[in-house]
Amino acid sequence: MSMNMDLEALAARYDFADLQPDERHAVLAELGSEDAYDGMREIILRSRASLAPADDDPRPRPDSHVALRAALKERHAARSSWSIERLLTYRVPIYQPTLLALAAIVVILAWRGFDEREIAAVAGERVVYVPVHDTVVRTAGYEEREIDEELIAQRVVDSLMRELERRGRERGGSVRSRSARREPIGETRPDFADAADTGRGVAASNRYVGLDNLPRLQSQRRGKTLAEDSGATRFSTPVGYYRN
Amino acid sequence: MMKLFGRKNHASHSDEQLMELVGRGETSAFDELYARYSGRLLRYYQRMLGGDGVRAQDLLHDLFLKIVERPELYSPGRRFSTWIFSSAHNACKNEYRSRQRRRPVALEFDDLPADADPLHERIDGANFRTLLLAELEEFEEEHRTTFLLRYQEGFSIREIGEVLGCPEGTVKSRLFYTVRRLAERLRPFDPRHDDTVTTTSMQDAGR
Repeated sequence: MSMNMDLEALAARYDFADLQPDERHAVLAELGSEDAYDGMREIILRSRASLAPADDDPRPRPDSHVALRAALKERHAARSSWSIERLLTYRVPIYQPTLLALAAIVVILAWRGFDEREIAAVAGERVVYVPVHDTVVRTAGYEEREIDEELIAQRVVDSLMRELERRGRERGGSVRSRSARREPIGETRPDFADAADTGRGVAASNRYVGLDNLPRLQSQRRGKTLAEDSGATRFSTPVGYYRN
Repeated sequence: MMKLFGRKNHASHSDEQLMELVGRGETSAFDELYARYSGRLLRYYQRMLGGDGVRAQDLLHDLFLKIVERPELYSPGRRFSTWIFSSAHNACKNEYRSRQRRRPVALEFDDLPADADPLHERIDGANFRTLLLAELEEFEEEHRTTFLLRYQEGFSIREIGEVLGCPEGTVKSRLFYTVRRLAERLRPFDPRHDDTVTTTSMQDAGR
């Protein structure tokens, strides 16, 4: 096989007369005669000459070139223009969205786990239970009028509970309160009130109890006190707590 | 002026660089690539398909359409010339398979000048090419394409191996066999011999 290669290469380059003695010997051993070698060389040289490009060679159809250029432009334009339809019909291998979904799930799970651990750690250090007065009410006197003290007190407390819970929900559940339904009513009744400001207790028989103290309650939660409010009466029974 | 200012000059770009630009949709790069290879490929197709010019034009169009529509088929690390001729070679093989029978080249002996003398002077140039291509039709497709890639396209042994997907030793063997057999069959037309050549023998060679 190697000899075949050498003979073809030799014939393409050299006349028999120009070969080295060992090359001549190889040629004669393989082809049998000088004439056979010259015949091969003649074919190679004439083939190169006759197969070379010539003026009468066939030419590509001009319309083919035009059509190909148009196809290239069209394809490029189609690729560069993004539309909703193209986006919706864009084909991707099934493994790609699958991997993407799995990756998203892993990220979400990892993030949630991390977040809970972080909050637990912080909350464990900073949770502070702050007693909140169950109500702070302003009283106004009405003489000679029958008032159901217990009913009024219960309504006041229930209203406060609802308001506290509502505000707590608005703040992302940071406020919790005892439910008046679950707790004995006596715990939140004015009987337990510390009426230190007036010395009379808040549930006087001839007094109407109103709910105008909530802004102040919020002020207290923000660190202010009720000491300045001369018209307020504080109940000392803690009905809820804040969680900072 | 349009060519100076309206089109990019890609003459200095390699085939591989042009192919990359074609993949980005640059028509001027495609024009340059088409100018470099369309004529060569058309010649190759036509000579591989027994002179069927119409079919050669179709295959040429299909090949460049593939470049336009699926440029990703070309691997950037590969030599473009061997890749495109490999694609052309595969198209020819498919064409052979689809044909029920091969169509021999019809030699136009009437075109030979009748008053030229001696005979070997008439068997020259285009006439020798006609005889040579007719003889090549008698070879197996693999031998024919090896011969054309070597002596028509000027590929090296290694490049032909890349085009055909075979070892270099196989390429050398095919070349040696083809050249030696051609030399034997075309010996009557060798101007170095005084053998009497008749029209009948030429027609036999053509078949």
